[in-house]
Amino acid sequence: MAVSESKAATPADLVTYARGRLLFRVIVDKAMGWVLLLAFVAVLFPLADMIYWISAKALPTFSVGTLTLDQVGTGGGLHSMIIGTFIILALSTTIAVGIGVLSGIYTAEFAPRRVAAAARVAGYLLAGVPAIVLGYFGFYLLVIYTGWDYNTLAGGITLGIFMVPFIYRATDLAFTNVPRDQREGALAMGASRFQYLRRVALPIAMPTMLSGIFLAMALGLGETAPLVLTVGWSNTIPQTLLQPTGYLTGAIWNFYDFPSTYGHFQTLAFQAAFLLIVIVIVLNVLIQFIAERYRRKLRGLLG
Amino acid sequence: METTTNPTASEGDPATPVLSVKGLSVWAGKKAILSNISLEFWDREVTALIGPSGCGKTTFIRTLNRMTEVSPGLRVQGTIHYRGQDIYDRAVNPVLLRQRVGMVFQRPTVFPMSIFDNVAFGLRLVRESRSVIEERVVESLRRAGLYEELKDNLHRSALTLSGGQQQRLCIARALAVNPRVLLLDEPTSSLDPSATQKVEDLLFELKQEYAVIIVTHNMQQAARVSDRTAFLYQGKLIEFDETKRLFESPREKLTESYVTGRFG
Repeated sequence: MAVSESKAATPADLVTYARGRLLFRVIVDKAMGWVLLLAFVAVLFPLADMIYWISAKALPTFSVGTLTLDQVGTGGGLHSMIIGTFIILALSTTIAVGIGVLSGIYTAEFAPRRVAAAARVAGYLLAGVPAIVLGYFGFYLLVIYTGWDYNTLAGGITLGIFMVPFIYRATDLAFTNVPRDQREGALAMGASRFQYLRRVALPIAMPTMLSGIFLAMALGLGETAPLVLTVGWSNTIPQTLLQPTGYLTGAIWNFYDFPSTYGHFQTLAFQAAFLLIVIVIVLNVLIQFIAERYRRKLRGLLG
Repeated sequence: METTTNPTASEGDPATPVLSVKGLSVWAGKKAILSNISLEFWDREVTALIGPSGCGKTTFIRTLNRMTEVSPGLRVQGTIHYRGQDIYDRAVNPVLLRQRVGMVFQRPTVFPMSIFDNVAFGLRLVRESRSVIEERVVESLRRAGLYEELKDNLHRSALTLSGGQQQRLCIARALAVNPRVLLLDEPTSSLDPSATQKVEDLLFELKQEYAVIIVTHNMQQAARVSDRTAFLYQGKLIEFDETKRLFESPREKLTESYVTGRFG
């Protein structure tokens, strides 16, 4: 028993010591945990609050008609604006993927080192151009100069230019990150450069590239400024691409300051906001899903 | 190559070397990486290239199927003939050349696709029919000694294989397009001893049908697997002889110092 008594004395010493510097450390440690948690909540809370607020305003009046009816007078739904959004997004994505992917591959695989460096800087600059400036440029070039007046195609092109740098950078990065070995291995098999790109590099670069494309789509979907200045507005689905159209961000922009007692315009603005958030969340989930699937497939190659 | 009736012809056919290098120099800017190298490679033989790091052996092996053209800034002078055809001639298609003169690298370069698709890669490049591809994939895997190990998993990702299996898969992939020459650039330097053993055993099988040229920094390996050995030092070919002679009674002082481990 004597032995165990002397052992029992040791933890008591430690407890005494914890009142000094150790206690300070314990407090700092705990406090830091709380501060970090607080910061996390500060990020999460506005997001959660916003989703709650918009859902609360949008959902009670949300019906099939919201999706299927055109907006007429002081009634109707978002149908033509949903279609308009997808037309604009399809146009801009087609343009941006075409230009962004090809120029990204050129930068990563073909361009001499100096040209590639200059191209990358240009890409960053384009990404930094304020959307409203881009919109003004689109307005001047595609609405006024062409004499087309406000039209859907102008919006698609302008939004496409907005999306290009994101896709360009993702593609450049994706192809630059393909291990050198793969290129050597493929060329030593007698593959041409094109065959190497298509059969070896493209599958490896695909996840990063797709993430960039979906990110650009999510960002483009939320842009308003390039469209306000180019697309104009319409309550019906455009018959040709040279007519104006409605679109979801435009619904918010046009309807947010209507009095809540006048028609259902405010409600439509909230429903448009709700739809935008849902589509962006779907795109982001898709990005995560693709990234995870390919990460598994390429495990052991990219580390 | 009318020597099919004589598979033990390790001397090869003296009249027709499969690759013949004359006065080969490679320049990177003003720096000579290789100077004035002349030697010949024979069918159904293993030729080893040895020499200390930086002696140019990797650059040399890459000139043999024009892989030097892949790295910018290298200038090749001199001639290399593959069965009488100058491979640096404008008329030669490097794609076809690389299928005849296959290459395997230091680190296995399997592609992120199935085992089957890896071996089929070169065949699909030349649009072989599906039945030919299937037949050749199995045959190549068998020749590389992988078929028995992998036959039930041919559609598994090749990235799941061990390093040794990956390297033999790369050899199978090169064999599938029916080469005459196999260039191996330190093929075992990233492998453990038992995987190395398997690759070396494979070399004995392969030389029954192909000319094998292997770069190695491991002199014991050169002595074990090769019929002839070339010793390169500072971009120059110092000595080229039958392996046994080069190791046992080298003519050059430098060779002797190297093979006895006095430098390198």
